[in-house]
Amino acid sequence: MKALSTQGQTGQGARRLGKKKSFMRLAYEQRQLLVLCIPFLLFVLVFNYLPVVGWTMAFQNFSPAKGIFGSDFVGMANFVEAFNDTNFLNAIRNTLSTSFLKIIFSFFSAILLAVMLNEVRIIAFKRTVQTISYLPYFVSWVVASNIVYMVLSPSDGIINILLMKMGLISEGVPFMGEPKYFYMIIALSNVWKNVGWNAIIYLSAMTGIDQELYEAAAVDGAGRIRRILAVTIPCIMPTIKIMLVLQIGHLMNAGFEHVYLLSNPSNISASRTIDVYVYTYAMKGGRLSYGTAIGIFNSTVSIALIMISNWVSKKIDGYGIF
Amino acid sequence: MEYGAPRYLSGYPNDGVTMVDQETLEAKVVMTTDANKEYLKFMNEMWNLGYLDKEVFMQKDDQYKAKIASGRVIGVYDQRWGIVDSLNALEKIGKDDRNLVAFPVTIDSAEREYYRGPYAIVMQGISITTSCKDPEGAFRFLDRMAADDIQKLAIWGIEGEDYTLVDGKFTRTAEQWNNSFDLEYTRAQGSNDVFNNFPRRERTDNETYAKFDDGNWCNPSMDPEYADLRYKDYEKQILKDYNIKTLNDFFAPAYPARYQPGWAVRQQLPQDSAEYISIDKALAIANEWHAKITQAPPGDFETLWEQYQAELTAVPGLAEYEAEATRLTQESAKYYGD
Repeated sequence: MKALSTQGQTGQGARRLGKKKSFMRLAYEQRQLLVLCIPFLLFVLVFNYLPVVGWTMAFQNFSPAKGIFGSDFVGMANFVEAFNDTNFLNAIRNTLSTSFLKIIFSFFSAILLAVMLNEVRIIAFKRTVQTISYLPYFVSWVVASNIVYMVLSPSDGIINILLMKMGLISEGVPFMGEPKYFYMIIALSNVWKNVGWNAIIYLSAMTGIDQELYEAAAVDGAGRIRRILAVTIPCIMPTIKIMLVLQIGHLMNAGFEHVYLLSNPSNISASRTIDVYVYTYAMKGGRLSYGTAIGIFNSTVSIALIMISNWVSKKIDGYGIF
Repeated sequence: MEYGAPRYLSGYPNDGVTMVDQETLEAKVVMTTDANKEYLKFMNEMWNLGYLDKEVFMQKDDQYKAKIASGRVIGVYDQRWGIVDSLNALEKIGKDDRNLVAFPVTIDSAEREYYRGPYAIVMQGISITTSCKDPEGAFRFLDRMAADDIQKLAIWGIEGEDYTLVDGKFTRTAEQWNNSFDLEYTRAQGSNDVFNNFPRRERTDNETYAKFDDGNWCNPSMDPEYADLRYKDYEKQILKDYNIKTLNDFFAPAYPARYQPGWAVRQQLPQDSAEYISIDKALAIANEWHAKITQAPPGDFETLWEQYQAELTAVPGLAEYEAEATRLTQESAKYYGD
């Protein structure tokens, strides 16, 4: 405000002043709304910006007794240690593969389910399917991972029993015990748990589609598939894109509980994601500095990914989320 | 799993992640020893013969416990406190013939076993601060707390209410025994765990220290009646069949402490030292490689073992940890009498 008024004095006075006045008047007119915003601004400030001060820990050998201002400064040592650790590089690879598969699968399955539900004309059936498909979303991963374990168990899991009964395999496959199956197990169990919930967003976007578009398409001789491709999909495209950009921001975050609860010594070479790595190597031993250093790396890459995907999205057809 | 099993199996006492040579008191990190190699070799053979549970490296703790509780498990290598819920569950459903009893297992070349160690109960303890106005008075108070009459009060309870003196011997009626098993009762009575943080006479196999001056057991659990009350019928049957008094008799008597136990070494190191961190890293490596090596085809064993050892050697601070553990162990031996 001070900057504005000094500028106002140096020239172009009238216009600037008028602008300032209108801003003030606008603020005054919306004062109730502005007051309502304060708690949320504070929330973001306290929980999203203030913790960034803690990033200094990454460059220190932090000890809780000495505090942030008293701990020894070690420069980039924590980062050097992380990038010299083969397990950390393995963790980056696992994180990227796991979340990439997760995004692809959950993304397409949710859109597919939403499109199919949208075509169902029997309301009762639609409601039932929707309820059943989003129920697992409300089960915590602790319980869900146990279900995954039980279903995939080599001795009494339903999948192995079915495969054996069909004569496809002669003895149980230890799905949870082999690293090569792990990525797919994560991707598919994620679909099972979240598909119904994710589909809700697309379904709600579909309710906003003007029914006249469908009628017009039908008059032009479009069949079911044609109507889906030419009307439904283009109309929910903005939603799809926002969801994709948001999910790409989570590419460095494969989901801690999900992966950690399904990881075990047998499949650790595939299940050691960055979160699991931080938990076992930094948090268990109380190495806050090391954990923070990896957290910074993670956040930086995530921000870059969001920027890039948003930029790409804008380039393609002018929509972006910021 | 990463260190306990190979160390106990080859006949070494509980020294945490290290294996302490009983003659030279030299400490070695278990993961790098020949004992560990032999152990993994055995595990690998058992795996390839199909004697190990296929899910041994996949299951979570609760699945493991559930499996034992179902009565389908023929044997495990574990400590009782880790699976006690499952064993209790087996008792509850009456599958006594499926319950597990502990035996001291060692490899053939082990000279003796050290499963039963000196009792070490780690409590918060009590300390006198430097700002204490009367440190001597405080110490006299602690000294008084350690006296026999206070200890009897703390461990056995109030005479006449919780036990009676019959010909100089502490005796309890069935009701008094039952009361003593009831945590709420003992708390209300002001005995037992109320005193945990004060000096107290712990259970020990050494009769000199296990009894008060008047010849009564310091700890009621040493009383034969206690065993009789606590053992279930099937356990008593086992005792009768093997002609022993307690299930502990399967094991060698607890060895006397000659040096500070190896598991205490790590607590003496600063948490941000390379030595301290090296153990966390080594354990994570062991966790992964034990699974990998055990489940490998027999032909790959040697190469995998070499790779495992190479990864351990690359951990900074591990060798220094061994040196430090050896130094602290040998140093501590001076303060432990025979």
